[in-house]
Amino acid sequence: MIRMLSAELLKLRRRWASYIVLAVLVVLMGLVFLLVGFAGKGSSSAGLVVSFPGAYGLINQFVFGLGSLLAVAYAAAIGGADWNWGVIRVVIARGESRGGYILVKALAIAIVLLIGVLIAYLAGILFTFGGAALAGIPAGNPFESGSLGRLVRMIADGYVVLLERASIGFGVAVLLRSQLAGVVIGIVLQIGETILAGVLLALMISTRFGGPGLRGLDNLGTQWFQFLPFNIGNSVLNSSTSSPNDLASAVLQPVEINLALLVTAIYLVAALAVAVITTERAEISS
Amino acid sequence: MAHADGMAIVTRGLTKRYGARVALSGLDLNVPRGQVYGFLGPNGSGKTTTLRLLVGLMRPNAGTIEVLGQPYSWRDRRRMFRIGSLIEAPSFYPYLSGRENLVVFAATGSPTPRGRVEESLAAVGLTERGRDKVKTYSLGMKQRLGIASALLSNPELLLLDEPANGLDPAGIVAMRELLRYLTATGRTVLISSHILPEIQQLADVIGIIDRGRLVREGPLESLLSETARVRAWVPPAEVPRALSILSAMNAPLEAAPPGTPHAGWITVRVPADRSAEVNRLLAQNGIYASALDVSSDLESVFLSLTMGGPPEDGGRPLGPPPGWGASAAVEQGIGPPPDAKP
Repeated sequence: MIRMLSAELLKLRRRWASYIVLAVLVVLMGLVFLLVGFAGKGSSSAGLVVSFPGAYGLINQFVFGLGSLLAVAYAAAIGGADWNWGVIRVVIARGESRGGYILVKALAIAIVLLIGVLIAYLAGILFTFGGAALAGIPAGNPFESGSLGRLVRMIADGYVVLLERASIGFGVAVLLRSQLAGVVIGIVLQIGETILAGVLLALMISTRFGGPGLRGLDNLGTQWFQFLPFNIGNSVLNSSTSSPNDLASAVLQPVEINLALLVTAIYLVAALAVAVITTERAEISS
Repeated sequence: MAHADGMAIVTRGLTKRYGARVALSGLDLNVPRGQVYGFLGPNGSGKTTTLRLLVGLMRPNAGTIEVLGQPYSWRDRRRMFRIGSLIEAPSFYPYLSGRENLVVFAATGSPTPRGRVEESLAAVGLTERGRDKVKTYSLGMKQRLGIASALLSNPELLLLDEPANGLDPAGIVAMRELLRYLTATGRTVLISSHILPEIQQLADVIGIIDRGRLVREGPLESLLSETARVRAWVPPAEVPRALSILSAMNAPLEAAPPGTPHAGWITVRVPADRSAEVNRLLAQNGIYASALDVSSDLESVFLSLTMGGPPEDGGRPLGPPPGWGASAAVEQGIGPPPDAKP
């Protein structure tokens, strides 16, 4: 297994996508931090974004928000590649365990994503200092007493969400035996779910305040759509940052963090199970 | 199922359907150990489907498979460790080098000893290009790399689907040498190909499949003897007399119609070793053949079994240009010795 994992990591090291995805994330994040610092020169409100601990909110949004979208595409591209290039045929004909191969591939992707998350987080911390310097305010101590543990927890929870979303892209790509299908469907699902949640939230607010709405959306409790595969991750991320600042968090009863993590983990395992079972049962004809 | 001592592959009643279409219909294959088995058939006859079933890419709908003396199912991973294969087009990661592709394949399936990657590259003459990305390779180079990949686990049984695709003449000869060497060292090679002259030079046993059924199987020599013929060219005016003389051989005779470009050619359906007798009979009666052509080609057998009749002209064997990588392969202990029969 170690040999196969090492081979999978070699494949990922050699793929440009591994570097491009991270570069896109880091560059966009850097631009935003520097722009905020530049625009907020002399303004105290800039300190909410380019100083610690407030900066972690923006870093999280990039690393686990945009980052998860990129992770879906990346995992789908890697998961579907073996089918697109016909390499899965060679691997199976060599007597490799089908399920084992898929799981090792998923593990390699998880390792690369973890490295990417850590690099992006580190870059976010450095950009915060840069933004603070431009804004002319102190950045503060990113690891001040008591916040280090919270930071580790934030990264760990966010990483679970990232993995879950990546595993959905991976699972779709393996299920449909196509990189492109995995990338497109994974991204459409993520964006589609966000739009769906937004529409339902608007209807909920409308219903609550006497406007046109939908039956069953008139209470402020936890709603079913919060448990959809991508929305449940938002619950984890919002709980982790403990500074929910979007409209949904203000109106909806948040899903309890441990429950949200459990549901996220179930989706992760389910997506991998789909990939494994599909591969185990697949008849490979071309 | 009949136990098959001395057989590398035995299938009985092997059936595979793709929806309503029957790809294999009760295939009974017998591939002897230590020999090159030429697996022939028209497009869509079921050759590749058979190979897919043999390496566990697919499940049969019915029938049994025995590989290397034991019953075999698609879950039998350990048995696959002993099989090397190149099924359909060679498949690689285009962004990795040839060597890296072999390294990542060697990490899957059967344990592959260190150094085997280099040996396999050397066996197909790709040592020098091993560091180049596969996306820069020609089709022939990819095919060679595919063969190298099949050799990684030092297999007892090699299944090759159209391995000569894209190879230049030198590459074909080198591949032939390599496969002969492999069978000389006790391995079995099943080779599916459309290049019949190549199979004729290489195979010991032939199996011909058509519409999912085995229509003929047997030693190459016995199949060829069925279509053996000797052709002699005599002056067109002498054709009637020559036919009369050659009738003494008690063999079917044909003459090209007068006035056609082939006028003067007489065909005697006898084995090649009786060509001298044809020549002697004509000469003793004062007819001197200007040309004598001996042929017993697989193409005629193939076409008669799959299309109902031989063509006007049979295929001709390719000449023997120099090979690739043979000496390097020998150095690495994987290729044929220099004195191997070409």
